[in-house]
Amino acid sequence: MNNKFEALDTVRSLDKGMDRKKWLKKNLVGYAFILPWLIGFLAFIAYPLLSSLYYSLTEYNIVGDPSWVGLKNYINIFTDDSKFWLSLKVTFYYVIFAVPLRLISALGLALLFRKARPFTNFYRAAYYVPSILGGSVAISVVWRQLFSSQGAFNDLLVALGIMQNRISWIGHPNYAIWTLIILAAWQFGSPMIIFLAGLKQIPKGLYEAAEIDGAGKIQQFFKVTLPLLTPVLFFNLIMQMVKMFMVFTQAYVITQGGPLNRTLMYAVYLFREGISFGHLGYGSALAWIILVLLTIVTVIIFKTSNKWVYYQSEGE
Amino acid sequence: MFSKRNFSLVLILTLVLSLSLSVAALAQDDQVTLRFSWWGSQSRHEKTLRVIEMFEEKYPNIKIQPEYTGWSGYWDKMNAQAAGDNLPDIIQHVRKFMSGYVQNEQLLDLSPYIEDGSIDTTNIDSSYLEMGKIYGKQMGLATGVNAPAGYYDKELFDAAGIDYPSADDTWQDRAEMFKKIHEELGILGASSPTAQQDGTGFFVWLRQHGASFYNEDGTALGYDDDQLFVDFMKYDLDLIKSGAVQNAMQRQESARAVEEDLVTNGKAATATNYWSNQLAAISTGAGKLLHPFLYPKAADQTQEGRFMKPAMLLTVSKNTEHPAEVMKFLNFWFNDVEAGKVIGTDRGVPTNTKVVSALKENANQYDKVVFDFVDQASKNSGTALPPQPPKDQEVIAAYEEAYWQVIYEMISPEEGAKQFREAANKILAD
Amino acid sequence: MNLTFSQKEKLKNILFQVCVGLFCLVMLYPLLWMVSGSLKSSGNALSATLLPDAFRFQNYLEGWKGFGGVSFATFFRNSLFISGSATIGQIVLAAFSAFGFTRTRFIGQKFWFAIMIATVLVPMQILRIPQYIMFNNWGWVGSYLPVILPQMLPVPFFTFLMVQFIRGIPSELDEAAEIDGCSKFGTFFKIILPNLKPVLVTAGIFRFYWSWNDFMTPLLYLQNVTKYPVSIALKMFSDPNAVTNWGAMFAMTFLSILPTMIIFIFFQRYLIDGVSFSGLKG
Repeated sequence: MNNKFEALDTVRSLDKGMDRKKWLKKNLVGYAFILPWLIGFLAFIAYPLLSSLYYSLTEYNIVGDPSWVGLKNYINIFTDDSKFWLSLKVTFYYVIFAVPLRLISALGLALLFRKARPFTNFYRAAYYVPSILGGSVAISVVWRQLFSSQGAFNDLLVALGIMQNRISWIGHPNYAIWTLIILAAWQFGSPMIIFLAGLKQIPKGLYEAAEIDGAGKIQQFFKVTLPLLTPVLFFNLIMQMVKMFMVFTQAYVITQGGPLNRTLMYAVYLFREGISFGHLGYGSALAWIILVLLTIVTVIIFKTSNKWVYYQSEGE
Repeated sequence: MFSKRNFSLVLILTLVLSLSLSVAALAQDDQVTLRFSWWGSQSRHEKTLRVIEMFEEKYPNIKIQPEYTGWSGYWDKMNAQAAGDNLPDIIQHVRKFMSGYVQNEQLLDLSPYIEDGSIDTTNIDSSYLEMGKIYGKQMGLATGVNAPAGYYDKELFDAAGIDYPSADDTWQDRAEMFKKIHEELGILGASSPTAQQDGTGFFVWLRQHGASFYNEDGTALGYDDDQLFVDFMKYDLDLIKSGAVQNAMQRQESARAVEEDLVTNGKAATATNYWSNQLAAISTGAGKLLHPFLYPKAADQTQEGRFMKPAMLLTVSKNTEHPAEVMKFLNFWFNDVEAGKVIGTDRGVPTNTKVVSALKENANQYDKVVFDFVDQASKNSGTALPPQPPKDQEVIAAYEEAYWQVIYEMISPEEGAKQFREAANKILAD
Repeated sequence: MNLTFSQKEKLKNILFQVCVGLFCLVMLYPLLWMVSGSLKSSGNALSATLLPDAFRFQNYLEGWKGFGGVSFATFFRNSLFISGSATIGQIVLAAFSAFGFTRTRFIGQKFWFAIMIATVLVPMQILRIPQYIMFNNWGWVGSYLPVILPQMLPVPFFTFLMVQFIRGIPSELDEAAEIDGCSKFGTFFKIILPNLKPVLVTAGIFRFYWSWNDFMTPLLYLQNVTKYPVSIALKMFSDPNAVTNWGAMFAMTFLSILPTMIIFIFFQRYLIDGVSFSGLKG
């Protein structure tokens, strides 16, 4: 982004020669173009966001009026709310496993479907189906059935001789979260599409050059594909991370936070406190905490991105 | 894809749309429109709409705008509307959520309208009116009554050669019954010994031992002897050990739909955690009539602990602009026999004696059983439960948490009792 | 064993078809199960078997009937209206704003662009109640406005997609147009918009599908059942106190994902072409 704006500065210094009217018009035109976004941002994001910041400093029960309490909600959350810490732990655990697994599945399948073979179009669509189904009731019923003690997953493990005794994956305090992680890994449709788009933009010539240098398929992947794909990987990483941090529907329809709150995702906890229990003030504080946390994590990823994200030179 | 003309068309459309928003719908005439919200399934929607039609025919100047959804999301919607002072005129409610609405002055007190005769309650028993009272005020009217109920499969009891559950069974009798079924048939005696997760079983248990879940004014729990909680959990743990009921993991994974309960496919002989208005649902799931039975008694009980509750209530928004018309609707709803016939037992067994006797005349097989059962329940019920405090949901959540931890044997019943008592009292004291 | 190149390719192809095809079953399992459930005899819809015990098309008729005289025809029409207007509005307006961010120069551009990117992080949950109170004060509750308008005005994800794409369009094109006397608006409509087709389709598909699936927003804002979209109607089948008609529910769920699937199958070529990473820098 920086280079782009250095360029911008040059533009600006050129502007100095312009007369005032032209300058004004130029600015007006610019603002006219971003106006739709600006309106949406101010009305539907900025204003509600600021009100929720205000609410987070109040005690506000859904059917009452807000009353100012200062930092009380935040202090309570940090010092006196074991479920807050538990849900953070659960969410981080989920994100740490679910994001990489989803990205790996998405990348793997994108590589597989990269080359046009018979039926590829059909497969791409078929592999996208789980993502379309999202968190629908059908998914929740199927998932609960699949991982129940009588379910197909146990059948498989027993048949393969991995396990002797069937266990209830949905009901087991340590494993229930894995049913959600597997679901996340399995709904890899949108990052797959983005990877496919990224792969398409890698110039063929680079592979030819690599082949001439004697690089095998695997070397080609690590020397050409992966480095050139890092910007896409980066994009997907951020998008998926944000999404998974706030995962709600899947957790809500399948486990509802149970057993023993071991799948109490942050968004589920936030929903329970803020909407179900009607504590808008407390809920807003919870929401702001996750917003700040998300920002910190994103900034860290951004900072490390210089080390691993490879950008082709601007001039290509 | 976009020719320039198409494009301008889109732009114009967008503009028109955004303009039309500033022009609020101002169309008005002499007609009064009332908004009526309820949740339910296909059949309830159809029945309710038919009653609305009948009402509109009788009062052509009143129009009822139906706003119905499924249960899922209904309360989020109501909460949001309450926050925006935008509640519908008539709201289908449940008793456990009412106190919060009452405390924040969202609901209209109906007593003056009953006194001045706008709503005729001569055929409604005072005990039923009591069910709509919160803090002494008539904040709603029960659409019908419900009793906590278990359901059993007669054939399985016959096969095991065991007596059917009766109203005089004690908790101990029931435990033996479940164990015996398990020994004889190798299936579960019950999925769980009583409604555990939502606290209903514990409510009854406490009342039987002279205590109550909440104190009079809802500012603390209604007991301080942890032994009550401990004994109740130990009863369950003992049954889990015997294998006669589901263990914690099985309970966690078992289906949440009534018609999928283990009793419907012969894997359990009874289901213990339901209500009387679910008979049709659970019997349909089983493909045969499942018989209802009451919660057990305590052998040493100091008072009758079993109870009945309103299935749901109709309440009125405090902000309604047309109270007179609303009362006309409520009066029609609760007194018109033809309307009552359409509604049937869908919202619990109706409270109006005339409606009930009309319904009994041509009751179907399922309804007949429900009527008899509710009669039996009313003879075996103690006083109505006091209104749940607005924080009820949070207290129940704390109860569930302790319950699951005990059942999963993460903590002992003693620790669970202490944990729940402290958490609940803290929530209630706030 | 010596295989010629083409034999090797053929073998690879067969291997690919077998593996991917088999795995396809795993991916499609829930869908197949649901379709099968939509045909099973009543009371049987939740059984684990994949093959239906009957072909009960009655489930589709029962489901289509809807609730209280409002049939799924209405719900589908409403969904089409909501998703359709959200989609058209979104792609046009997002393209418009993206053009502003890339091809015009104005004071505060860098600032606003950074803000736009940062709003990707704002979870919807945080905005819900303040938005509700706001829309209620404006008297919009009960109308389609609070449902459609926020989905119509540019959201960061699509604006960003378009910014990326526009960056890939050589700037010589619009410079030439400007020299020919085209205004910025003229350049946008005549030069840029026609070149944006792939990304418009990509954004359109995602927007359509997200709006189509959105449940909470319409639930909170729409009051009249005749205005409900399919996403709400699907949740109206279940009631904890009554029998859920699972067969009918699966039937309607299946029908409800058909539009998305069809659009996906037909436009997937564009879907991939519309995502551009040229010159992506954070």
